[in-house]
Amino acid sequence: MKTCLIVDDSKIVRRMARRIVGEMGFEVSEAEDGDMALAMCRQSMPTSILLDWNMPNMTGLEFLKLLRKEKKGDAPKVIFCTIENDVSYIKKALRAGADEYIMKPFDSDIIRTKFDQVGLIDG
Amino acid sequence: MAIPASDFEFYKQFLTEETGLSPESEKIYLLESRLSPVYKKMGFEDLGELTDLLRAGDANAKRCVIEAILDTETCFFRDRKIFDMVINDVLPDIVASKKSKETINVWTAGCASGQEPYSLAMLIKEQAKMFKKNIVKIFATDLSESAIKTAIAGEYTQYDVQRGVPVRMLIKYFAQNNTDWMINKNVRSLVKFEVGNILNSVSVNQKYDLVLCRNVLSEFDESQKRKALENIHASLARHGRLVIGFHDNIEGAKDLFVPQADKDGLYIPVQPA
Repeated sequence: MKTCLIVDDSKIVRRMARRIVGEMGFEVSEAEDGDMALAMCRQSMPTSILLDWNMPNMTGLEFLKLLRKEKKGDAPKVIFCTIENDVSYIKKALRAGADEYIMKPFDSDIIRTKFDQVGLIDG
Repeated sequence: MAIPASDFEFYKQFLTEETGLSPESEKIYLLESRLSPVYKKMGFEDLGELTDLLRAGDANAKRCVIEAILDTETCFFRDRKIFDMVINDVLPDIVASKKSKETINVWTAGCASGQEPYSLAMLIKEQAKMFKKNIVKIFATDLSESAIKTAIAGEYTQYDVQRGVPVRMLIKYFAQNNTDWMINKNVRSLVKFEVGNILNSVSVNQKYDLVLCRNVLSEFDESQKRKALENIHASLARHGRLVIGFHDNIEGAKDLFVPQADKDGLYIPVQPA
């Protein structure tokens, strides 16, 4: 089964994203910061990660750079999901190895489209 | 408020004549919900006053009602598989049939607010090598004046672009303006927009190599669909191709087009014997 790790310090955003991604058939897990997310990835690398930018301890960008250095850390499709909508942020994310980028606010149409564009949805 | 049966018949006739769309009686609620903001915006207390104005032939009322009824809902790269087929299979065949410097003419009929022609233009830019010996011109029409205005402006909300444009293409082909995104001139220059009704006879100054008419035919009744397909047929070059939407079909015009094997939605015009 495809899995998705939602990394966001907002409980509300995690709940919204969990519902949408869960309805797309993914097994969903949650982390509220980068440290927790990294530990979970070391346990079991997810198929996909929906990643916030601004979080305590480390930013989403810092998490992504560390993730890509991990064993099998290049495997998950990483989709940023953040309030940061400036092109300079998007470029930084792509350079660090992000696969797609969602600018908040989001809805199910946007999440589905982005997951489809990175090949996470069959057919 | 409920539309009286006599008014519904009036709207049905009016919309059939003006747009080709023929609302069924079970869709009366849709008519009410789309016209409600129109009469309120015009300062009327109820739909009856708008209907009276429309019956009197008021041009502004006519325009407002048509705009409200037309479904211009669309998104960038809608039904991605169709775009994959066009860029990977259809256009390479068309390019192969062209001489150097010959123009490739594309018509997107029913382009709404421009997402379809701009999506195609971006793909053409991405595959610039394929088109290095030819010029591509995309002609895009829609019946809705406001949709064409939006298309010409080329400015879309963050929501619009995120529902279809991959982020790498977004930063390559759009300029950011706060939370809006403006399509770049180099993409825009490939597309010419015009208000037009596919049910009217097409003035054929040049023939098209490819016509995209997606999610339009399914809105028509059989005779209107036939008329639209006749117009498209008349506008296509001998080697041209027609692409229709997943929910469209060519029932009633099988003498004009034959489906291309293994390619959903792709049709070849039948040539007179």
